[in-house]
Amino acid sequence: HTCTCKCVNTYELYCSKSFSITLTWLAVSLFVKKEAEMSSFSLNSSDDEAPEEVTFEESKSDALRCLKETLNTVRREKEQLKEKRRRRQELFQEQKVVFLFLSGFILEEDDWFYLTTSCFVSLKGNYKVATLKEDTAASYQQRAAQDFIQSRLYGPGSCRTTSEFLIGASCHRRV
Amino acid sequence: MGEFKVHRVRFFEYLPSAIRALAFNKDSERMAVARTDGAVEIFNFSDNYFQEKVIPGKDSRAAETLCWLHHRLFAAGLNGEITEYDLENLKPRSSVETFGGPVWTIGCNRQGTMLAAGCENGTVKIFEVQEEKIQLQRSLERQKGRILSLSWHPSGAQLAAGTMDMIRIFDVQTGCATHRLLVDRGVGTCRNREVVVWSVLFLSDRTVISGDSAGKVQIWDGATGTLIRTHLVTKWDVLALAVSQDESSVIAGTSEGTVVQFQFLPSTMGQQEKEWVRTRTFKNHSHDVRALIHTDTAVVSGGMDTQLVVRPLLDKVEKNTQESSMRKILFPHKPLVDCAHRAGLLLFQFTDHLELWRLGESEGQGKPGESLPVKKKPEKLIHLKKKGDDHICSSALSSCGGWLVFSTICSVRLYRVQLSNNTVSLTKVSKLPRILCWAHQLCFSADSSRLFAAGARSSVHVFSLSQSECKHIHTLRPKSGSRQPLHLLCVSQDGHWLAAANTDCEVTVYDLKTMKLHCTVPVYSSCPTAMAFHPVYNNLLMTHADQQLSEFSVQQRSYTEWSRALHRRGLHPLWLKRDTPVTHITFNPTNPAHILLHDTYMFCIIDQTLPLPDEKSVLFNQMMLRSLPESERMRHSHAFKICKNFQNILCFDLLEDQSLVVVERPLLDIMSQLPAPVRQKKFAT
Repeated sequence: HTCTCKCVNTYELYCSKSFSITLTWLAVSLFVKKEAEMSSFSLNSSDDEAPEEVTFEESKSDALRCLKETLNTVRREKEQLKEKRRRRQELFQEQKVVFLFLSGFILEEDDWFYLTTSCFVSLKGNYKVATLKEDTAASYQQRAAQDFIQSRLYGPGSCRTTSEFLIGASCHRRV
Repeated sequence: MGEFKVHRVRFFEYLPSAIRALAFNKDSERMAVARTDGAVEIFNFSDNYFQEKVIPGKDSRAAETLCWLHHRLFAAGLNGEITEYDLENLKPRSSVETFGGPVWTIGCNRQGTMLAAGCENGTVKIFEVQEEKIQLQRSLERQKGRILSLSWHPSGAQLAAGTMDMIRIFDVQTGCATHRLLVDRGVGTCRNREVVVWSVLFLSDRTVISGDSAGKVQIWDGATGTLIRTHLVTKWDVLALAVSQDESSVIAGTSEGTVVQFQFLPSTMGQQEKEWVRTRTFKNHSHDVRALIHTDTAVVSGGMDTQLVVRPLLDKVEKNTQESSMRKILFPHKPLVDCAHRAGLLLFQFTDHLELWRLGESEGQGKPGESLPVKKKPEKLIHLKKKGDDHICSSALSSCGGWLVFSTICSVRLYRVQLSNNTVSLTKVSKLPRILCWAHQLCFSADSSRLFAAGARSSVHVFSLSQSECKHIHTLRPKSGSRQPLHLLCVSQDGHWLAAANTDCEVTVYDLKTMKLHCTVPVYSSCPTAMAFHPVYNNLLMTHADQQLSEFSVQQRSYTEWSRALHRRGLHPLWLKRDTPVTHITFNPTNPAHILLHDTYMFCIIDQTLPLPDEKSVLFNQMMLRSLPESERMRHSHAFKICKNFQNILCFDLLEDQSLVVVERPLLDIMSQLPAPVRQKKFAT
């Protein structure tokens, strides 16, 4: 019986449920047949004792029980996997919300100003995501341009002083 | 004149924005000024440099460059868009994406058919100018470095573009670059850094003039692509260039704040060969000069010190006249401070927020000029921030201090203010009539029962105010159907009359009891700069950009006798020579003969019972009068009592308790907050 169960488990991994049941039946019937054969062999070979009386009903119920158990195991494992996947998905959603929050998006229930449909993220509960500022490639270019001007006019090598110094110098000159 | 207690206010921390670009429309004589906060101002250079219009700015939309095309104004900035402004409604009309990244410069060809834009990605985009918009036509050959400056050849067939380390000349038809003019880098450590060609000019004889970050002004032959002459003008950058209409004079603006002039002259007398010779240097600014315009008679410059300077060229104007004096425009020509007379409150308008202050209290009396001890300090009651990116363009505070309103180009916010001894509460009036979506002039009636808002095409919307509601009653429209915006709005004390002035110099008076147009003041060639109704006689007093004063009787629909006498006598020459406009007029309820007004450098109380000064009298005679015995004073007095003790006046008003409020903004306070100027070694400092 142990062998039968092993056989079933291996098959379950690769085949669909119905297919696996058919195979299980085949495996069981083959095995039972084999067992019968093997029993006949042993009968023929050495022992004078009569073989064990195993009725078809008994082996059928055994096989059925075994099948049920394996099906239950399979179902349990499937459910466990499903549960695992569900929890993972939830975790990702939460992480995404936290990420959006940290990147400057805000969650607001009622008073949200401007939204584009592409910004909608469906979250659990009554929350919607609203962008505060579009952080696009265009604004990146704008910042780069501003940095350029700032560095050329006020950056290192620009020889600048402070306005206070200028005021002080002009007062000094007047004196 | 009497003695007044004066609240000398210096806590309005107004900071003007730096000037980034200038554009002059020769036909209409209008100068457009783009500031770093995104605002664009229009000055009328033919009307005493009056600031006619202000288009409010917006966060992250500052114009880097401006360009006039006939009567249309275009601007472009680092947001990568070219915007056309609606000068009638004072807001952007349309925007076009260049798809070249941030735009550094735009320029129109002389024919007015094409607009070129120099972009961050190294392309020059050519747009076709159409009726309602501009359409991208093509891109010229792409360059490695960003295009920071460009100039059309007067023929429109070629274009010179300044980029990093070089200038490229393009053939507009083919889009190919025909010449490459390599610009030398600076000496020493500057050799490691690319030189930036900040400005370039393309003259009709194919001469190209460039100004760069190594401090050089270089003259090139654009036909052969060779360098003719180099002038080292400054140790810092040459940021801007401008050429006169006849191409005989070029000016260069530097980071030092100087403007250097070059003229196309024979280098020695009698010689026929002309060349570009450095002539004058003007030091008009304390900080970098970022924008320049060369008009027929003057050099107009603006930069980081926020001042717009007009320096007439003495070889083009008559010496020692009003025309030849230098003009410095420091402050806006419309009031940013509103005063609630009854409540003793001040409202300060900034671009991004409003501040409501309660004035302090003093005790005791003192001698003229003395400071009184302060019993209670002035207090900031409310700091109200705008929502969204658009800047505040107008605001108003009711006389009782109970209502506050402000507007941006897309929304109006109205609030109820409740003040008790220790608490301040601000309640927003939530449901405003749909028509009250934007107003560039706002005004409350004296009894705070009505709100008046300037709408499109010189119309005025009238709203009634109750405990927490605002309802639209009526819209008043002028007869002329002018499309120009209103820039002045005032209501009479009794709530009977409303006067509205637009930039077409039209002043219309409406009867608020019948809600109909009452009359139009005869059009005077100079734009009104301030107006107010007399509290008793309901005469409309107006001041104009050319410093003229007039008083109009609404009942009789004509100028008053006093006004006619003033016109006959003429104003004193020193009064007419003042270079800042009167921005506010008010009256003294206890003395109906007094008119109180101010400009940036003085305030004046005009006594209508006293004789008018003639051109020989001393205009500023208050100090002299004080030194005379009382019996003598009457003989020498005249109607204009001017006080120059206060400087950089942003507001001058009279409170109900007969004390004066003067809001000053010392220049040094502004200067100390400006960005860093260049470090110059001056003798003895």
